[in-house]
Parts: sequence; structure tokens; C-alpha cells
Amino acid sequence: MKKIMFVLSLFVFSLSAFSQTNVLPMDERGKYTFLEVAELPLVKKEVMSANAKRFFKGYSKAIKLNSSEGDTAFYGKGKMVLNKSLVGVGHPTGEAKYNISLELRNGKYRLILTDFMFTPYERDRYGNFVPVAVSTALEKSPGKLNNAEWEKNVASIARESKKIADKLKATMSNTIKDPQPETKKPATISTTKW
Amino acid sequence: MKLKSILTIALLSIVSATYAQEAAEAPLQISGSVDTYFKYDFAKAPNIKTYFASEQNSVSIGMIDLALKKTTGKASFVGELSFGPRGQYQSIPNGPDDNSFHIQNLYVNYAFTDKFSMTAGYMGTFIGYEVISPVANFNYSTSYLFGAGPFQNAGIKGTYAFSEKASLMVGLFNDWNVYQDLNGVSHIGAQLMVAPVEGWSAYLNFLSGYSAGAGGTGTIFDLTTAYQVTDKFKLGLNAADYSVSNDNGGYTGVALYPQYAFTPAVSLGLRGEYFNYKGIGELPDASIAAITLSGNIKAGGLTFIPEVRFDSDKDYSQEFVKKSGALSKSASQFSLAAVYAF
Repeated sequence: MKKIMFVLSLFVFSLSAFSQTNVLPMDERGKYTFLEVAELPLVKKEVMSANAKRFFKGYSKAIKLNSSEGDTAFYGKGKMVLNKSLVGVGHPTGEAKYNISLELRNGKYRLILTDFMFTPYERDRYGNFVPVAVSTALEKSPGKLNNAEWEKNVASIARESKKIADKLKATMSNTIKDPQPETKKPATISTTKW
Repeated sequence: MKLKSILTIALLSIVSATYAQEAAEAPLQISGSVDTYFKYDFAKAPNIKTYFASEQNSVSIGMIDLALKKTTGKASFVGELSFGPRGQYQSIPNGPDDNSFHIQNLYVNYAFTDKFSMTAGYMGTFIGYEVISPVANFNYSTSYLFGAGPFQNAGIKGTYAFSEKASLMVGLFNDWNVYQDLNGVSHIGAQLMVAPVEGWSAYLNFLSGYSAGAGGTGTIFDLTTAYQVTDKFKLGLNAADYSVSNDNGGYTGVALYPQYAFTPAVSLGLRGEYFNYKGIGELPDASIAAITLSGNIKAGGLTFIPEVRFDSDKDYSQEFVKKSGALSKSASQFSLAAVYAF
């Protein structure tokens, strides 16, 4: 019994540690900002640019590009949906709109997500979650009563930002300019030889 | 003992891994609410008969509401069950043997394209401003307009979104608030949604049909609109007209909902309503005016709703009584509700 209690404590501790690691720092303007600089010395500059375009094409529903500077800087607006979930069960709690910038240099790139505006979701008469009319800058104080919810939202935004960053890194790591998508064929087995 | 420990650790590892892998996807949505309230009528009688704060001088329960939603590709379903007086007694029908199915919503949806989708099943009504769930209403007690209109409409409908600012829904529906239509699918309905500017949405609704046992064809026109004027001030409006042919009555009403948010956690809202029952045949109309002042104090998923309400019934249609038991032209009540949404 003691052992089970010990393992349970460890589990709870690891879950809380998981949630605590999701924090967003603030930039010089006092805005919550996700920043990642990645070094990719093996990827050529023109390939990096093609990779960036492919990334934004893949995210075209969630990120709209506003402008770009040549092939080295991309600026746009994005939207991420935040979920309250545990063990695969839950529901969306809101969405966060943000500004995204991706700047490329020789052998490295910088990703910035900032100016987060949070819009809570409410359940409509049909059981669907839809955004309310008021959006709030993430920096605005939620007040004592709603601080816990707000902290969860910030952690959720940090997690979603990390996912975008990881996806970007995977795309940017391609060393071939136009890689052909892998066609996954099911594994074949022989039923005649055994 | 060793084996037990290993099994426990293995089980917890699986749970942790599942959490990590699926936390973002939420393949099955579960949400809902519970609500409870205290209501005190100043004449010590259950005078105001609108939903749902109905029980006098009692700490009473509303309902536990559970909604499931799952989307697979372009297909999705919603199933919403409610248990409690707000559900079985007041907002959903019973089956033919008086058993409750507990179902508020049960429908399937298929999105043929990003713009066009079809939905079939038993759905919360598209008519009106207020809803059955206590989470989506600002005031806890409801308007006369809410009580007089449909609660659910079973049927099949198609919705086409012209853009984010305009969409049209057209559908065929059963009679109001029934799981089974005894005189066949007999209603046609439509909803035009426009959102001319950010923060403003308006729904123009229409529903017409001949219900089983009715004296004529009932037709309702309904306008439901809300405008978030500033971050703190919101104004809502509901206006409706319902007529049953062959001079079989109906109603007309309008309700205005100004709301002001002092902080993200504390808001105050007023509902001012004028409602008129159309007289059947030679009988005269009867009108009611009501004003409701509600606060919303939010702490996480919990919302407290203190509320005072004054109703004026000059035609005695509601049969309000005084403490003495004599008929009264007015009624007033206080209520305090707690609603938890998850």
C-alpha cells in the first residue's frame, strides 16, 4: 500500500511538473512571447526559405501571412485553439490569436509568437463551443477569482507554441529543397513461404 | 507484492503516456454544468411562472447536464443528457410511457464542404435569445418569450455559410419539443445569420407548421441579436411574433438585455421585457411587463447569479397573488443561483 501511495505521489508530482514547465516569458515591451532560435548549419539558405514556405503552406488554415521581406523574413497572424483535456477527454476552452514572425539567416532561424489575444469559448445551444465576442490581451490581469484559469491558458498557449515550433523545426531541418512526400505503403508479407 | 508494484507503475506509465499523446487532440469532448438555486417570492407564493427558478423558499436543484461531442473527419455527433427538474420536469418531453429519455440534443452532422453542412436529429431550438442551459444565459430566471417559444426542434437542416459574416439555414422539422412527430414532419424553418461588424451578430428566424391537435398553422418570426458595443458593454435584443391561424392566438414580445462588465469576473445585466398573449377568438389580449436585474460573479467554472425581478400583470393573466391570497397585478422575487460549468 505504501509503495502504491509513493508511486501515486510520483505520478501527481510528474504531472504538476509537466504543467509548470509551460511558462511564457515576456519581451522588452512587456508582452508574453514565445521565442526560439534554432541553428541548422547543414541547411542551405535557399533550402531554408523553401522549407519556410512549405511550413506556412501546411499551416495555411491557422496562419495567414501578411508580408515577407524577400525570402528571409515572414510575418503573419495565427490562431491556436486551446483545449482542456485529460486522458484524451475534454473540450476546447478558447482560442488565442497571435502575431508570428520567422526570420532566416545563414544556418539559423528565429521564430517569434507574440501579442497573444485570448478569446474564451462558450457552449452554444447545440452543444458546440464557440468564441465569445470579447477578446483580452494575455497581459491583462484576470483578477484573483480567475487567476487559476488564466494560468492554465498561459500554460496551454506555451504548449501550443512549442508544438508549432517543433513542427517548424522538423520542416526546416529538411536539407533538400523540394523533398517529395513519402508515400507510405503498407508492409507486405508473404503467405506462400513459411 | 513486487509484481503488484510493477503493474501499478506500468499502469501509471500508460496513463501518463496517453495524457501526453492525447491531451492536445481531445477526440471526445465532454462538457456540462450543474446548477442550484434559492428563490424567495416576496408574496410567499410561487407567483412568477417563467422557467427555471420556480420553487419558493427552497434551496432547489436545477439539473446536471452532460454533453458529448465527437468529430471524425467531416462527420460529428452531439449527445446531451440532462438529469434533474430543469431537465425532465421543465425542458424535455417524456416518452409515450412517461419515461424520460433525458435527451436535450441528439444529432449527427456532416460537413460536405467548409461552407455547407447538414444536421439531423433532435436539436436545441434555433429560435430565441435564451436557452435551456444555465451556462449560456446571463439571467437565471427566464423571459416569457423563452417560455412561450420552442425548446427543441427535431428535424433535418442544411446550413450554407456564404462567408464568416452571413449564413443561411433551411430545414424540415417535427412539431415543437417532441421526439416523435405524430402528424408527420410538418414544419419548415429557416435562419438567416448576419454579422455586419465585429461583435455584432443577428439571427432572423422563421418556423411554420401545423402541429398535431392544433387549431391552425403556427408561424413564428423571431429576431435575436447581440452587439458587444465595447469590451465592457453588451446589448442584446429578442423580438418575436407567433400566430396560429384561424384566430387561435399566439404571442408577441420584445426583450432588451443591456449588460455591463465591471471586471472580467463581475458583471451586471438587466432584462426588460414586454410580452403579449394574443387572445383566442373573441378573448382579449393580455400583456405582461417584467424587469430583471442580475449579477454574474465568476470564479473559475463557478458563476453566482444574484437576481431580483419585478413583473407587472395588469390583465391578471398570471394570477399573481398577494400574501393575503388576493389577486395582485404585480409580483417580485429574489433568487441566488450557483452554476458550475465544466
